[in-house]
Amino acid sequence: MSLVGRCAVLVGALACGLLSACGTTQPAVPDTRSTVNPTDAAWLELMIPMDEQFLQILDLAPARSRNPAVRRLAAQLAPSHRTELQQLTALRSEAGLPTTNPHEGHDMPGMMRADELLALSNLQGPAFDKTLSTEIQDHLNQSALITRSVKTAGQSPAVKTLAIRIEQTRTTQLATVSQVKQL
Amino acid sequence: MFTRKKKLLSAGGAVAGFIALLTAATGPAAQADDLVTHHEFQVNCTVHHRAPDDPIVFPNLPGASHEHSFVGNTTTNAATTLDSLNGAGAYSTTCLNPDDLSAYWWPTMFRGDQPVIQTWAQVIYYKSGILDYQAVRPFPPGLRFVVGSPAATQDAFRTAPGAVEGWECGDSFHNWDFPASCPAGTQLNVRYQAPSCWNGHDLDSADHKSHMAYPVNGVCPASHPNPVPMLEFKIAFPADGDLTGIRLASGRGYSWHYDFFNAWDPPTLAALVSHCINGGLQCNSKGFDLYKPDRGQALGDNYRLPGRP
Repeated sequence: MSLVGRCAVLVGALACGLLSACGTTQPAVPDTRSTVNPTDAAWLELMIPMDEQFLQILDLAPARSRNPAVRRLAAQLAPSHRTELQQLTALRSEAGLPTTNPHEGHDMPGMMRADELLALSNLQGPAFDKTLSTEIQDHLNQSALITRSVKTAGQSPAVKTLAIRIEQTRTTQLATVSQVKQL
Repeated sequence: MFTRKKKLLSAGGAVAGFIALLTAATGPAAQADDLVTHHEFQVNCTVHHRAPDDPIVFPNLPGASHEHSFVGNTTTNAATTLDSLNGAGAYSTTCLNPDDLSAYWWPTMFRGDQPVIQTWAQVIYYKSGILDYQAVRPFPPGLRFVVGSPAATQDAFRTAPGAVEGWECGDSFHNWDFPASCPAGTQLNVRYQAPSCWNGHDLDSADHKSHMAYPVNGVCPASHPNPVPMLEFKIAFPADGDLTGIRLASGRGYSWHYDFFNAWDPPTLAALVSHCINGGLQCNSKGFDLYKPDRGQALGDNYRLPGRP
C-alpha cells in the first residue's frame, strides 16, 4: 500500500488532502462520499431535478413547435443534458445522497411549477415557442448561476470538475440560443 | 399616560433601566402571590428582503432555494455565517432589539404570481417549552435549525408537535391547508412552535433538525437534555377574500416551515431569558410586562442593556 493509500485509510481522504504530511508527488484520488460538502450536495440535488424537468420540456418541442429552428435547438440541447444528468446522478450515488428531490412542489428559480408545465404542454405554435424560449434561457442562466458557486464554495474535486465543465457548456449553449433569431 | 411614563423613564436613562434589572436579578423569580401565567418575551421584526437563498439548507449556493422572506439581520444571504451576522453590527436588524442580529426566515406567500407583501412587524415569541420554565437557558451563539418541513404532508403538518392552530383567519381555525376564503379585512395567520430541547453539542445537524427535540410531557428528553427558549412564530399575511390562488413558495399551506439562526448579543439574550422566561412574565421586546409593572424592565427604552447608548 502506498503512503497516500495508507494515509487515506488512517485519516480519511479529506484530511489527507489538507495535511501537508500526506503530500506526495502522486495526488490522492479522493472518495466522493467523504469529500462532498453541503454546497456540493445541494448543487447535485438541485441540478438533477432541474435537468430532469428541462429534458421533459425539450421533449415537447417536436410535437408542439412548428418552427424548425426551435425544434433543432431543442434537439441540440437534449443530448448534452442527458449526458450531464447521468454524470450528476452518478456523483449523487457515489456521494451516498438520497434520490428524493428536496425541492418537489416548490416554486424554484429556473424551473417551471407543475401548473406552468401543464400549461406549456397544452400550447402550440408560436405561443409554445415563446414560453419555451423563456424557459430555455431561465434554465441555462439559473443552472449556470448555481454552478458558478460550486467553484468557490464546493469541496469535492469530482463535483468541482463536473461543475467547471457544465459552466463551460452553459456558455456555449447560451451563445447558441442567442443566435437563434426566431426565438 | 403611558407615553408620559415612557418619557420619564428615558429621562432617567440608563440608571432607571439598570435599577429595574437589578430588582429583577435580586428579587425572587416570582412572588408567591403573583400567579405565573406566562413565561415569555416577544421580538417584533419586519420583512427586510426576499431571495431564493437558504444559508442553513443550501449554504453558499445563492439561487438554490424557493423564495424566502428574511427578517431580523439585514445581511442574511446564502453565505451567511455566525461571523457574518455578528459582523453586521448592532442595529443591522429589522427587529426592535438592535442587539438581536439573528436571522429568521420563512417561505414567501404568493397570490398567483404576485408576492403577498408583509409590511408590518411580525411576532416571534420566545417561550418556555417545558414545565420547569426556570430551567430554560439562552440559545448558544450560532445555533441554527429548521422548524416544520417544506416536504410535509397535510397529515404530518396537522399532527406535528409544533402545530398550534394551523392557518386561521376570522373565526376559522385549525385549517391544515389554506382555507378557501377569509372574511374581508382579516389576516391569514399561522402559529407554529419550534423544538426547545438542544443536544448540548451540535449547533447544526445534517437534517438541520436532529440536534433539537420537542419536550416529552413537559420535560426535555435524555438525548436532548438542554432546555432553550421555545420559538413560536406568529406570522400574519395580508390575504383575505378568495384564497384559491394563494400558495407558498414551498407549495401548499402544509409546507409551512421556518428557519432560525441565532446571533443575539449573548448578555442581552441572557437578560431577557432570565427576566421574562425564568421570571414568569409576559414581556414585550424591552423585557417589560404591562400587567406586572412592579417587576421592572430588563432592557432600557432603547431596547438595549442598561448603559448602552
